[in-house]
Amino acid sequence: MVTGAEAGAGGAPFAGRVAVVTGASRGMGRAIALRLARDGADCVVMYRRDAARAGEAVAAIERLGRRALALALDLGEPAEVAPAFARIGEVFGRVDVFVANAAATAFRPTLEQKRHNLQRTFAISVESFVAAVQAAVPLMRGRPGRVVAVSGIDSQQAMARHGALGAAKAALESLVRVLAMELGPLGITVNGVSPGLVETDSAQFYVERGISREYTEAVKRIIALTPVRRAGTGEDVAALVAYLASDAAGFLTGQTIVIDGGLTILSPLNLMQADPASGAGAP
Amino acid sequence: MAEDAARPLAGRVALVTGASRGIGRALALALGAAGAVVACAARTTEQVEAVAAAIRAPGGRARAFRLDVTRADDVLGQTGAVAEALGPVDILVNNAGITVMRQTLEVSDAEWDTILATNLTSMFLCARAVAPAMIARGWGRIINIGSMWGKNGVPRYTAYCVSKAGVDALTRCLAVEWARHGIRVNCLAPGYMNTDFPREAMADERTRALILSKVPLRRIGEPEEVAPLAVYLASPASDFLTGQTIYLDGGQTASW
Repeated sequence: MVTGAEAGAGGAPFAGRVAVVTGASRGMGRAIALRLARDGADCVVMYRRDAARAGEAVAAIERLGRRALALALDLGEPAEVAPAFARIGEVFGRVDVFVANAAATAFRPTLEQKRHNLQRTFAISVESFVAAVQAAVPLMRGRPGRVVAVSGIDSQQAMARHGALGAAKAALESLVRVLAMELGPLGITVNGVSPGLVETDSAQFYVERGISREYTEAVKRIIALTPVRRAGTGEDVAALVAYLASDAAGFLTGQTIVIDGGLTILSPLNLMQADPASGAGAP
Repeated sequence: MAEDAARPLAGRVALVTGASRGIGRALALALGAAGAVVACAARTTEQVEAVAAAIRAPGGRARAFRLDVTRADDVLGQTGAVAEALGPVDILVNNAGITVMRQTLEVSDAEWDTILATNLTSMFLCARAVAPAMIARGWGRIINIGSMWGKNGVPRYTAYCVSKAGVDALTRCLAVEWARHGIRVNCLAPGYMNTDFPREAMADERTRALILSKVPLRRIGEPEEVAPLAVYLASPASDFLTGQTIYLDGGQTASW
């Protein structure tokens, strides 16, 4: 049993365990993999294109004294998922933690979405997620494994050009609930994290393609709207994922936890204020 | 303040209400083990003295305080006493709560007022009492203990459910208002836990089977299982998480 202090920081609560993280060559996925490695886990770095950066992530994990394996696959092709997990089975013989972090989409008004864009968005966030859980559970071999899915604000709130991704993330959060119900009797927990603005390479891409061409200006605006007055970091999200992936979180399942500095609970009325978090009149 | 890996709350002062038993006791012990100096508060001090002693035994720091969270003057006076004895409160755990099972038409005015005062108004009073010092120092954590029943309709528990739904709203409002001062406010909402209240209900085998059939993990939680999430929410690591209600319920609210 991992104690709270160990799960929070220090010690090696994941020693001897294997964590699989998708989209782990950079950004939030990399931060999550490194955090789990720091806490003792051997890691599988799943990535699509950037072999050099995946190699850097592997090297960083190995410097922490853990084993690491980079696996290239395209989650847009769900058929690639099972063979990837078969390879993990050969190399590590087990999976303890699966973190579904990768996502991709075409940001455009929904009326302009092409069928193949919708299919690809859903292939990554929905079909490949299901395929990965199907492949990971047998490798958990009766141990109380952990599944953590990374969602986003667009799953709950309408955002310009996020129609496809928001719908896929909403489906992902639904799967978190259903899989929690189905895998609960096995002792496996399934949870989500839903970050607000987290400054990574992808954030720049998401903001520029979605909300605004002027990334720096847009980030300033979002930070001004965020009650804690800053953007999140990969480490912020990784700390939450590390808790959810720990033994200490054994009774928490089926939840998607919003970690956004308070951004989405702020009343829309307040957003019209020059100083949003100062409070406006009651509706 | 540097974060000690094994003791992420070292140097912080925590106040836990309703700390004599159940979840409050587990939280006080865990915060103490994580390095916090803990003010263990309850209406009567006998049991809570033992909790403070249990924190001190392995080398922690803790002290028991008598506190009636339903009385504004007592909250002000006793939080002042905590600050004087241990230092200003960095971490407030609003845990004290009660419930009564009764048909709504039979709930008296006094019962309604007592439940709302104990479960909801108390959290406002305690937060209001400790927040000025948190604001002055630019750092604070408030953890309100809610319930999965804060979002369900439960026959015969109207006042309790209303109070816990109120805790969710209080959490959101304090979170957005005080975020700029480094204060984070979250609600930790347990499902069925192995505490006095459900233990009584689950003594009946049929009720027990019915409850467990609705919990995907097929068990109820132990009070100790709430603690690691509370330690995380009390620590600097949760700086980007505020205003949320997190259900720790074995998957019950996620399924139907």
